[in-house]
Amino acid sequence: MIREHQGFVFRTLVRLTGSREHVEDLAQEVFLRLYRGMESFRGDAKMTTYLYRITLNVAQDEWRRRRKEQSHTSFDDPDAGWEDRLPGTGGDAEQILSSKQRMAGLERALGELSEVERQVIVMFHQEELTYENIAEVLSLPLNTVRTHLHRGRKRLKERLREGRTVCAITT
Amino acid sequence: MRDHDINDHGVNCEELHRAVREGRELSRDQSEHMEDCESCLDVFVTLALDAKPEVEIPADFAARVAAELPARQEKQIAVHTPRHWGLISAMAVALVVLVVCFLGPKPANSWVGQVFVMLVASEIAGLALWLGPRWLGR
Repeated sequence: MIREHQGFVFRTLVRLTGSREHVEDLAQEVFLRLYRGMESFRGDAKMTTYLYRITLNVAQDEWRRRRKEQSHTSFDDPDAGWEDRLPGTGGDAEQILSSKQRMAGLERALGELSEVERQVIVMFHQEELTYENIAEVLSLPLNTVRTHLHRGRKRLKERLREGRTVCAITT
Repeated sequence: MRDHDINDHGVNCEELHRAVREGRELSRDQSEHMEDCESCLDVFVTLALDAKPEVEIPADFAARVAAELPARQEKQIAVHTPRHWGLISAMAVALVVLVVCFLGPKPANSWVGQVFVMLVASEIAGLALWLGPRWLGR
């Protein structure tokens, strides 16, 4: 079971947390939570649905932890590396955007969406889940899933438009 | 619709879609155009989101997780063990009540007293039997 689903777990964690840091530990946490939860698992949902839920929860916890850490980053801390995150510290504004940079811009924009929008987008596009499956995993009505997907994509495009200059001058 | 048009930037949407699909570098005009053109931006966003991020999964990941599981299970059992004491104490209380009933002073030794104490003792024993498995399974 671990081998069968580890790809999904790793990919989803990478995309939802926006980082590859500690992804292995997080994936391990997912499977341990699944194992612990199996005692109370009553079989009224599919095991994969249960695994998806746990993966989203672990990603969400990590995302919140990182955001909290970032908000505590001090500008006086020489190890914080905050200057790297500021736009416009170098590079040529006229340079052509490479596909890698565009992808980085998209990942950044994805990180600015709400948690549920990000989850719906990743499950629909990356993992090719149906609306019905997503609704089951997130315990949401079908129409709400559709709305989140539509709104999320719209906001993503808006962010990409807004972030054009920033993407072009940061490397 | 701006699809397939050659627009203000002199960019052909169809050509841009192809470039995005093939992951080619875009010119500055194409990049600028993409921000303004709903259809081109949509193609980029869809393709980018559909792409699965490449991840490196250690070959022994599944084995390592599996090895971690029994260790955790043993720890859980060790934590549950002291909960036997709840069941044992309830049974002991029931036994004491029964002993008092048969060997105790006169009021408890009368048949009314015996019936009353037997009822109390059965209730305590019942409670112990009912709560025991719950405590053990927690």
